[in-house]
Amino acid sequence: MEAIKCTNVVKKYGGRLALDHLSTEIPTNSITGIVGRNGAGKTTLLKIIAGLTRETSGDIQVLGAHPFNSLQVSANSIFIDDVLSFPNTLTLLDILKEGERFYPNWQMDLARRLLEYFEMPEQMVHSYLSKGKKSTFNAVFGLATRSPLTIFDEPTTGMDASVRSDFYRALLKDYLAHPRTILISSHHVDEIEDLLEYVLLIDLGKTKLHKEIDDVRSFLIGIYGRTELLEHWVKEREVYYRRRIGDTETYVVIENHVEKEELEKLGFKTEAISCSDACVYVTNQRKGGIDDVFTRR
Amino acid sequence: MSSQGVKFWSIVWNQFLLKLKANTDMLTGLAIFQVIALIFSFGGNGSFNYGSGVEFNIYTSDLIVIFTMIWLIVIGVQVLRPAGALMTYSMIANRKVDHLSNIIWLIVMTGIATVAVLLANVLLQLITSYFSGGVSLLPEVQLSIGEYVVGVCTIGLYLLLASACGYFLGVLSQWNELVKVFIPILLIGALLIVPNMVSEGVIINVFTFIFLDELFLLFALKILIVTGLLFFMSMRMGNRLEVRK
Amino acid sequence: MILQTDGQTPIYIQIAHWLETQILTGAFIAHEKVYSQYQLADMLQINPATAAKGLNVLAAEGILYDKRGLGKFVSEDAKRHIKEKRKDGLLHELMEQIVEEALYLDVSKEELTSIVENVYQEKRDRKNGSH
Repeated sequence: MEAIKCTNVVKKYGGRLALDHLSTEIPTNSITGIVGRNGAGKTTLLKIIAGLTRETSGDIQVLGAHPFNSLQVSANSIFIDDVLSFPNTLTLLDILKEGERFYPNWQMDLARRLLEYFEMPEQMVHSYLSKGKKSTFNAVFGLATRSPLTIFDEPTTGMDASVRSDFYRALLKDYLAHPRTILISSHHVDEIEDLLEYVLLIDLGKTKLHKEIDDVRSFLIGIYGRTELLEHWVKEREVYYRRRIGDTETYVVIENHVEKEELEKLGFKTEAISCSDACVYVTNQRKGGIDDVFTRR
Repeated sequence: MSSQGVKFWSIVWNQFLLKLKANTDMLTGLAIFQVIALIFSFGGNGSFNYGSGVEFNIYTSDLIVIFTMIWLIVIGVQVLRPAGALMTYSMIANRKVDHLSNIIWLIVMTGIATVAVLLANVLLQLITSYFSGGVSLLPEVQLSIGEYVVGVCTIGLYLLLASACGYFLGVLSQWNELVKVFIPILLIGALLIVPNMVSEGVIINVFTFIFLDELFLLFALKILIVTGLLFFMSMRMGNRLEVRK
Repeated sequence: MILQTDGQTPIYIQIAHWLETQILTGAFIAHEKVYSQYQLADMLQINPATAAKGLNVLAAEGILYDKRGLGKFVSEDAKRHIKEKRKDGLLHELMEQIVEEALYLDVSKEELTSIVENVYQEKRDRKNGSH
């Protein structure tokens, strides 16, 4: 069963389309990475799913309800980002205690042990925390709610590398023990890709790619070869990226529906395209690469 | 993990408790407003000098009530500030829960403010009689318990109305950014225009009808209806607002 | 085990390979229970669905078998099965790469054979020496 079902969801801010008839389904108890460039609509989609923002049109069901203004959805989900803040009158421990009063699955023990591990005094005030520590606290809060739908929007902003990897480890461990539906958006796909079951790539407010992580990893293939031969060979195919290497060789990135033996016969060399590179190539298609900026006059 | 059932009023109550704790700093504001009011009140609201060396000073707590009303308007707007909303929705909430818990919180604040006004009033009497060194005429104007209760309730009702006005303004300004600009203009404009209209007797009739009724119960009923209407409209208008743009 | 995330080989294939090697070295014997998808996910810091895919690859090939509700176990002839598969697959692939490299470098067939013989001797001696 799917935890989230979006059908033709549109969100307009003024005249700008943040989401453009986006449709997607997220299965229950899975970790999905929401990936895309800045301004692609990731945050907008996540806020609509969490019921914080209302869609302009389209249909959206979260845990069987329409999320906007739904107490049911609010009670069963948590939305964590780096904007989330708490007043100065509450210490970190106070905030955790408030969480305990609200959330039925609240994990007080886990939350306090994580704070201790990340060296955050319980008597600190949230707004005095550094940016990285704020993100860390918010992430701990999100984990502790153990909500059936847990949404992290760029949760690691400002965290240093070791805290980031600790957080992802904590997230995975808690997920293994208590499966739930988790959405994580991130610019750093390579950091989260091992955690993920699915990748949802959003571009220009639309679903560009929604696949299992391993399928994204093998979605594209890079091919080197002599320019005339290679150009002739890719004529019928969609080229995601193209670069000349010297005078005689060319490198292209195409979809991975090719027989390796055929390529070898033609003398082409192949290269695997990682998940994060695949996401870049798929979304870069419309404008070509950075090289074009310098070559076209 | 299955979806949990939701108990509406227990969530409203939890949100109220959260707001009570989170907004304790606003009570400092109340103290500051009342101290300012007290300082202004020491000057007396009016004095008579009959030329024979005898001076009458009139001390009233009007200013204390007015300053407390302003404070309630301010916190009515303040409780809706974005930081508060982020906190509210990081716990469990929807618009209805948010507004109801805000309103309950404002009513409790009104209660606290009423008690604070009474205490400030006592303080004012003590200080003035001590410092003026003259004879206080106060003991001769003893109030009966009934009159005292009616007086306290009247103050409380005025304060409640102020908080409802503040809250309504707060929702209005969230509803449309322009309102934020217009609120001060509206207030200043009202200050300039109302006195004229008062002298022309246009507004004064409406005002006396609602707020200066001779019968306390009728007065109370009217204020409660206006307050309820303001809160109701706030909830209706706020129900479609987005938490985060 | 360290996973290669450059996309060269899918993670679940890497997991399957690793488990095969574990079986070949005797870390798991016939009819012994192997790691569950959750243990693998925790050990390797990966999504349990990916780990399950790796296990399922081996189950589909008959190297592992399912005991309902108990997990996956090593088949009777798992070792033989893996050896055969790797001879045809991995060994052949590696050999192709070696021969290709040798052709680039104009290494003669005799030269190549002698290199293979030397390396073979070396590895076998080391293996026997360690036992």
